[in-house]
Amino acid sequence: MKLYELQKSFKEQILSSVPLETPLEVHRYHTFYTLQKTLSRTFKQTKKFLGEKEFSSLAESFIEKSPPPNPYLCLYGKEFPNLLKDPLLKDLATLEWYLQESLNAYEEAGDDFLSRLADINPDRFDELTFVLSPTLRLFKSSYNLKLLFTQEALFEENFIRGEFYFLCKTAGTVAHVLAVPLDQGIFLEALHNGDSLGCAHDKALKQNRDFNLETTLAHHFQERNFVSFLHRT
Amino acid sequence: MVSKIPTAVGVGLRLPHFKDFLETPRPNISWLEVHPENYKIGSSLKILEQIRQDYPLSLHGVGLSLGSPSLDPEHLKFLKSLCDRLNPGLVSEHVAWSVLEGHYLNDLLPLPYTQESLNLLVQNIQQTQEFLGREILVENPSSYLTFHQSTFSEEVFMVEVATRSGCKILLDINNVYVSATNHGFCPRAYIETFRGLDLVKEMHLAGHHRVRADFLVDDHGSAISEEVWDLYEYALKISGPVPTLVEWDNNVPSLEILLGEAKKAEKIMEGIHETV
Repeated sequence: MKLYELQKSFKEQILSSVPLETPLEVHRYHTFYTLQKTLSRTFKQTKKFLGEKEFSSLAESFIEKSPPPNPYLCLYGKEFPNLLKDPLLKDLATLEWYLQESLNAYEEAGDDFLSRLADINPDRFDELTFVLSPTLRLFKSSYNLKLLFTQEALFEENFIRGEFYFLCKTAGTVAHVLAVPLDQGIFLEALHNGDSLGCAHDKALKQNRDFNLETTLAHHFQERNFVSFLHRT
Repeated sequence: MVSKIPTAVGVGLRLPHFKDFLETPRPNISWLEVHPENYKIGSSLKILEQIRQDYPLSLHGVGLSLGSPSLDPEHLKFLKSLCDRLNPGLVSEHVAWSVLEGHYLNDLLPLPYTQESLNLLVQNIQQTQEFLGREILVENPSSYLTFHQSTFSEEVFMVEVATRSGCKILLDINNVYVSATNHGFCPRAYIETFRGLDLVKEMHLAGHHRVRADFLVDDHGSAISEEVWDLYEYALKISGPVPTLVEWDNNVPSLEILLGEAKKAEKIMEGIHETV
C-alpha cells in the first residue's frame, strides 16, 4: 500500500465512529479530545445551556464533518453555531465566536489617528469614514444575550424578542461582551459598513433624537475603538 | 535579545503561566519553548513578544505535518513570519503527519518507516529549511502501532532523515520510553544509535500515562517518571549535554512544580558536565 493510501485509510478510520483497536483509538482520542476542548472553551456559555451531553454529541458530529483546515485551533469553530436549531442559542454561539475572533485579532497600534484628525477642518468631519479596531466585533441579535453570560439556566424572559447590539472587545488576553444602546449600535454598524460620519450620525438620530455625536465620539476615541479614518472627497 | 539556546534546561511556556512570566522578578529558568500554532492569537503573541525580551526562545511546531504529501505554503509563511519576529534559537518539528486533503487531524500521526516516507520527509524538511533559511530539528514520535510495511527501525530511520536532509534531531526521551514499552524494544539500544553522530541537539522530557503494564500513552500530563529520568542520564552520556526541555501540557501544574522538574534535569545535566 502506498503512503498516501495508507494515510487516507488512517484518516477515514479516525474520523469515523466505528470502534477501533486500541492504538488507533489513542490517535482518535487525541484528535477529538483537543478539538472538543477547543470548542468547549470557545462556546462555554452555549455549552452550559445545551448541557454536557448534547454539546459533546454536536461537537463530535461537527469534528467528524468539518475537521480543522489548518493547525490554528483558535480559528476552529466558525461554522459550529450553524448546527444549533434554537435561534437564541445560535445567536449566543455566534456571539461567542465573535469573542474568539476579537481575541485572535492582533491589536495593531492605531496610526497617528488623533493627531491626523486634529488636522482636519471640523466642518468636513461629516465626510470622514472611520475604521473600527480589528479587535472589535459588533453583533446584532433579537435577544438580550448579555443576560445569558450571568445566568445558569434559561428563563422565559430570555426568549422575548427585540433589537439588541453587542460589542466584543479584547483587553489583554480577555475578550468581553458589552451591551451597546440601540442608537450607539446603529451608529457603529453604519460606520462599520463604510458609511460616512454624517450618514452614521443621521441614522443614529433617527433612532434617538437626543443622540450626542460629540460624547459618543469622545467615548470611542478614549476606548481606542477606531484605528484610522479615511477622507472621502 | 539573546537568541542562542543555552546548554541548560528550559520549560514549555503555556497559557496558565503567562502571568508568572510577566511578573518581576522573572522566573528563574534558562530558556522557553512554545508551539508556534498557538500564537496565531494576536493577544497571546503580544504577550509572548514581551516575555521573549527576557528569555531565549525555541519554536516547536506541531502543525507543519512533515510526513504529508506536500506542505502548506501558508503555514510555512506563518512560521517564517514568527521566526523573523521572535528570532528563536531553535526551530523544531516532528517526524509525523497530521494533514491530508486539507484536513488537519490535530495529532502527531505515525508513518511507516519505508524508503517512500524517508524520501518524502527529506524533501519536506529540505523545503522547510530552505524557506526558513535555517536548520531545523525533528523529533522522534511516541508510537502506539507499527506498520508491517516498515523496512527501517525507527532509530535508523531518524538517523537517515537527519543525515540526508541536513537537519538535526530533537530526542524526546519520554517518547523513546513510551515506544520502547509499547513495542518491546530496548530504549538504551535506541539511544546508543546516536553515539558519535553529533545529530542530537535538543532533548525533551515529559510525563506519560500508563494504561497497562505494556501500554503507555504520551500525554504530557504528569511528572516525569523515574525510568525516563534514568534514560535521560543515559542519553546525556551518549550524546553529551544538550539543551533540554521539560514539557507539561495537560493538567498543567503550578510554575513552581514545573520549575522543580527543570531543576531535577539541571542536576542530572550538571553531573554529566562534570564527567564529560
